[in-house]
Amino acid sequence: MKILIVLSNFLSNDELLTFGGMFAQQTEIPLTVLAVVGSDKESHLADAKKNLAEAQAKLNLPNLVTKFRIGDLCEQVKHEVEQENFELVIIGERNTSYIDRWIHRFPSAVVAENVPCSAIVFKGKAKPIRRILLCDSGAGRASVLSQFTAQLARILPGDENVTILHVMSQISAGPGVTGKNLRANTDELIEEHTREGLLVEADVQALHDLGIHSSPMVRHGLVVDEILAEARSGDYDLVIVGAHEYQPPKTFLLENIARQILRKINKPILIVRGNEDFDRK
Amino acid sequence: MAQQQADLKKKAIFSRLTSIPYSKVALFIASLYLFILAITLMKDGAGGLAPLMDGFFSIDNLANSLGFGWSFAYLIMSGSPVAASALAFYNTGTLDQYNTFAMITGSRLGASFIVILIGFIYILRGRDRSTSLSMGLISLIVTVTTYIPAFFLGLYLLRSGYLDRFQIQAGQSIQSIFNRLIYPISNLASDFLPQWLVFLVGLGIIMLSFFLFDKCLPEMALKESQVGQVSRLVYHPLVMFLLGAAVTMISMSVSLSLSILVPLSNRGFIRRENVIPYIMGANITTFIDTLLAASLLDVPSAFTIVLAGMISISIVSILVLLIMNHLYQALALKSANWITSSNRNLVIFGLIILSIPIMLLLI
Repeated sequence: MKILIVLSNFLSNDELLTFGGMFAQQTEIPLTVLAVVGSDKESHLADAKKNLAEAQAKLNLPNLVTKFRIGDLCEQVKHEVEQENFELVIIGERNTSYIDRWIHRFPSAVVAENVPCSAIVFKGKAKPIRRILLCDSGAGRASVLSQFTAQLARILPGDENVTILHVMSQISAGPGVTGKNLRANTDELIEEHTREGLLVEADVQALHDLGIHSSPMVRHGLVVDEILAEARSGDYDLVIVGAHEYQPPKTFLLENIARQILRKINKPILIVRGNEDFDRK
Repeated sequence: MAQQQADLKKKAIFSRLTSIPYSKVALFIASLYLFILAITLMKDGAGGLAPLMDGFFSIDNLANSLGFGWSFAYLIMSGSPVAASALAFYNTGTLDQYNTFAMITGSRLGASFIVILIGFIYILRGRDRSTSLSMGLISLIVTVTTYIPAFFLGLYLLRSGYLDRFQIQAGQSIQSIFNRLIYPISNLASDFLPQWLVFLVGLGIIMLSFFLFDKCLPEMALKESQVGQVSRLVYHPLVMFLLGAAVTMISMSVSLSLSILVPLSNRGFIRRENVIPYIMGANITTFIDTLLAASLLDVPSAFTIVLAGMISISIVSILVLLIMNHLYQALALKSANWITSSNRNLVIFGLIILSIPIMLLLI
């Protein structure tokens, strides 16, 4: 897997490099660290070179590639990914408070949404990835999520435990509707072969086939709230969500759930984008 | 070859003509006729109820009018006939424009009761509280929390006179239809019945017209469309807002447009995130029949009153969606969950929604 780590001013690059370094241990493909500066001012260039030198020292990898680019962060990362065919971008973002969410543009989030590959937005403290929360909306992209999760797990050191979460946010649309499923737990939904039960079961099977141990979970409530609640209570090290769909008319009709989670969560989050999304964008 | 093509064309036209549901078209025309007749009868008879309004109910402030519209809608389990009644009272000068606006707002608040009542009936039949009442409760919570701020905004709009230029009255051609088809019957009723009874006959006919109108709506075949996935995907709030507005514009009833959501999914489920913007959209276009009724009255400013209601509720709903949608959703859903969490909470809620309009009426 070709991985690009983007250094920026949004977070301590030390934490970001520690986190990104974990992905480099099991892969033979060289890791690339990119520093992007807004202009060719002498001081900016000096900062970029200093950051790259620190990255080199911190990661201490023989085949590490370091680069810098001048210009808009989002544009430059996008160009770099397109030129070098990176499969994963890792970029840092500071922890976000309620006020931050209202007043900031979240440059890292913009990068993650616009690069033509999957992206991890790193927040918080760097620690080994042991517990992964994989959120499957059931919108038909389970295979992309499972495959990427398995690919990622293979390059991470140690064993990971993946929890597959599906949030059932439905309520009854009318008084006469039979709503047993609306209160059922994960086991009941699987036993009764409901749509949600079949979905999480298929995810577990797909990951099992790829050699990854996983367990299913269904929660009831608002999608974003439940994902955030599970991510916080379950002490997960990485949250995985599918990217917003870019196929018209869905791109205009659907809520961008990935963006909402990205902005509200204070953990590393991986936004998985399938190959078909590149073409659509 | 040319003959064959002409035959095919004729066949296509014939098949198109035969596929038109003529019975539904006839039903639509009949319900529209009854609606216009009912408005005319209510307009003619409203004066007869003026002593009752001034004396027995003593409607002399905004709270009274709000409470009257609210309780009246509970009583007949529908909002639109009450809104039409408010306009009829305005036409005769029984209510001024602010009290008319208050009564129309009250009618919308009371109209949500029908969905809850159906839910209660299902509970009595042994169904689960939460499943039976969720939609009705959310509908009521959304209506109350948006209509009350919109009520004050609407009063401001009316007082400021910004909307005074928007006034519509039936044109010459409509008047000529009235002269031929409506007035002979309404005059006959006025000649033989006491004025208050003319109003009640009008009220009965308008309810019948809404009933017939429901019957002539086409079967909704949205299951296979993009919108048919409404239970599976989380849609952008503004998309659901527009969908709710569009469906209600056609169905002219919030409770009917909510019931249309059931066939949108195989299991009759809808996502929590989608339902609130949908109800907000529905709450705006449900005024469409009241707007039509206003344009049939003798007083052009009746249209302005209804327009103030539509504009104010639109502003409040859009602001909520754009600024605090997520927080609003969470609070509305929490409130609905609290109400259905125990019988005690349900009784407390029931007493509150029944007593508020009565208290307003007695102020």
